[in-house]
Amino acid sequence: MKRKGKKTKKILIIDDEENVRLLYQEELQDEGYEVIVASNGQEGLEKFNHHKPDLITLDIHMVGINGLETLRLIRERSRNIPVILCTAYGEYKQDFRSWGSDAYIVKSSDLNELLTKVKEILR
Amino acid sequence: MSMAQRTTSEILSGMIEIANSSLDSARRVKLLMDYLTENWGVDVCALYTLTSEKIHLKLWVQNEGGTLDSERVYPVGEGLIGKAALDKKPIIIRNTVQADATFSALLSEYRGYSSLAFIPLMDDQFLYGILTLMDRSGAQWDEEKLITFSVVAKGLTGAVRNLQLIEDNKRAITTCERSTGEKEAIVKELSLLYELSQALMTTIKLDDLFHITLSAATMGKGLGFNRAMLFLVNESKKTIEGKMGVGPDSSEEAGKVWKELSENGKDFLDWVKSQRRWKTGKVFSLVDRTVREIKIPLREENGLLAQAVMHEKTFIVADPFQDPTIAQRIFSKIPAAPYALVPICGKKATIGVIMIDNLFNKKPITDYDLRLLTMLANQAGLAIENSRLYENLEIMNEELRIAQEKLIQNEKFATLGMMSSVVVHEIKNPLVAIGGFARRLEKSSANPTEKSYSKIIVKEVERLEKTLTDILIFSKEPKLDFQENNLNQILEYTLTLMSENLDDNGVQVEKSLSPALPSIYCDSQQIKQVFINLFYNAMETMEEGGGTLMVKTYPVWEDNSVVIEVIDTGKGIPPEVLNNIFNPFFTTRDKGVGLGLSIVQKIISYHKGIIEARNNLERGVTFTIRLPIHRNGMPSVQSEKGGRR
Repeated sequence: MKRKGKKTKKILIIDDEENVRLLYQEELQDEGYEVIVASNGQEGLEKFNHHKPDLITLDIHMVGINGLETLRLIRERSRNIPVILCTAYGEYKQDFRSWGSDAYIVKSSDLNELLTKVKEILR
Repeated sequence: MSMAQRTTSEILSGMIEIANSSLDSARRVKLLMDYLTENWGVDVCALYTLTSEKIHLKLWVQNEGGTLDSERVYPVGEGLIGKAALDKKPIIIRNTVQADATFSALLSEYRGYSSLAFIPLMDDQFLYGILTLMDRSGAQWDEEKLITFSVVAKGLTGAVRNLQLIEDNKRAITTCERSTGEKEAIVKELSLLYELSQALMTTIKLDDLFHITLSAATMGKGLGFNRAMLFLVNESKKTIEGKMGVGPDSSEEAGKVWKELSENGKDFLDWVKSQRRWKTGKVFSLVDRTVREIKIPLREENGLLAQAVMHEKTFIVADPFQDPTIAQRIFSKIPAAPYALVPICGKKATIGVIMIDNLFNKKPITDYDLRLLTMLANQAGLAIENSRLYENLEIMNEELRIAQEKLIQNEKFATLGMMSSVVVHEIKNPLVAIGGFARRLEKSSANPTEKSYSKIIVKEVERLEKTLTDILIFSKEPKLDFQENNLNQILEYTLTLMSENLDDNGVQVEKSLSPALPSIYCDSQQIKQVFINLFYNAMETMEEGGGTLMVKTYPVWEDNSVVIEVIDTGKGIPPEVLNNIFNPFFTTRDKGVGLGLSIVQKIISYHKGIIEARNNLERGVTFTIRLPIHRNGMPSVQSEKGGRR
């Protein structure tokens, strides 16, 4: 499903759950995106600086620098990079805009919602 | 004294003749006095008798021309008459001028008389009176004359004794007759009181007590007033409020009701017992409706109703328009009549007022009526107070029960919440991975067995995820994010999200979404959750052989609301559990924790909406959600700090 003639969009996945990361990576690659992964906030920031992705999916609950702190640090570097918060919890979804993210997704084994959001944002 | 003097025996025979005549006794004694005056040649001949209390002597009868003061009363012992009575001995004064010094002080009232005689009328036991003889002529009374006096006195004693006996009898008979009347009244009061207290004991419900009281006031077997109204004090609001009115609205109706009651001939108590249910047409008569509308602050200036309570006072009011409040609040709506107000007394204070009148038969309201009514009011007061105490107890019990239930629920949720926060991260992430890869496997595998096994994993993971989501939602009070949203869009979006799932379960989707549906303020995520839960519900109820999921939206402008209907063609809900389906942890399935519909209801109530479920005529269930269009009473929109789109 590679899109020919168009510049492939780059997505950075920051999640400390290895298998979730792998799942997201494979699904997004299947959709034709270039995927970079990071297993914690620190690594995520480094890869953000290095790879200049078009979109970031960001887990909130992570050991070390957590998702929200990571988001704040990302926003210090770029106000425009779209960030989708992905988490196991539904309870923060009211606040995602005030935190400076663009979307909020409750993690699910059904990735439809994530893929739809990604497509919508990168259109 | 010109008459020829007669012999003693002649006088006696004349006396006996008079005594045996057929005249009434008073008349005979009067004739005797005249006869003796004439034949004894005295000026006054009189008879004093003892009054009923036996301590006074009063003139009973004297001869024609006698000059004694008929009003003068002599206590026994006072004056010559009293002295003769006290000593039970005759006093004879043959010559007042030469009288004994002991009498001189007592003689002043008999000035002008030369001879006096005071002869007690007595038998061997009792004194009955004093025969008094007075003479001015100065003629000396000889011994023979004195003997005739004493013989006549003996004869008179018998006569007076008989007369007194007759009088006593007569008096006794009158007393007896009077007390029979009184006794009848007392018996009536007692039996009324008894029946009423019995009747009031048949129930603890306030409304029933009102009805019994007012029926007792109006029924012929009771007090028989034409109309009766009951008002109670509202302690917290400091008002007196109409509770119930009983009475026919017209004289035709009155006639009918009275005829009915007299024909069935029941006692009041029997009648009460036969009226297990009080919901009769009469309860809502015009009188009743008028009374129920009345609420008057308990202030002096608000007239007799307030005053009857404040001063615990009874009023009989002849002019129905005398009290402006009653005239305006009651008699502007129902025909006016003279009325009475009687306070209903509780143990400590006046708790209300009964008002009665006799509009139709125009009978005057008597003191006796009021006495009965007061009795009735007192009984009713006690019963009403008891009932209120009982009611308070019940309310408190219910509050306690609810508080306890809430406590248990809160405990449950707190546990759930704690558990979920800790556990969810550790369960959800692996589930996402398992389910996600199973989906990939299902898609990519060419092996049908592998494919179907993968599908099973996918479904089971989905179920676990759903349960986790439900628990999470339910255990947290959500922060709502109200925005202007179009419900049709949220519906479409949710249906798209679930389309695969619905397809797999053989569920056809039909939509009838009104294009005129206005936007409403709602939390789109929460509303989405509502639809997800309802669709899951529909899907599960149609899991055998699929079915049709119908989604409808339309505005209801009259109510300023929008309606969403979610209709399935599944198994339906057993009627006996229809009331429970929104309770948390209630489930009819072996799957799930029973939170889905409870969450739905919770979210809808956050939106000030309502949700109802009913079984369809043919099959399946319709869930109807009503949400208000306007934001009235809803939390204000949270500011969109940092929103950049």
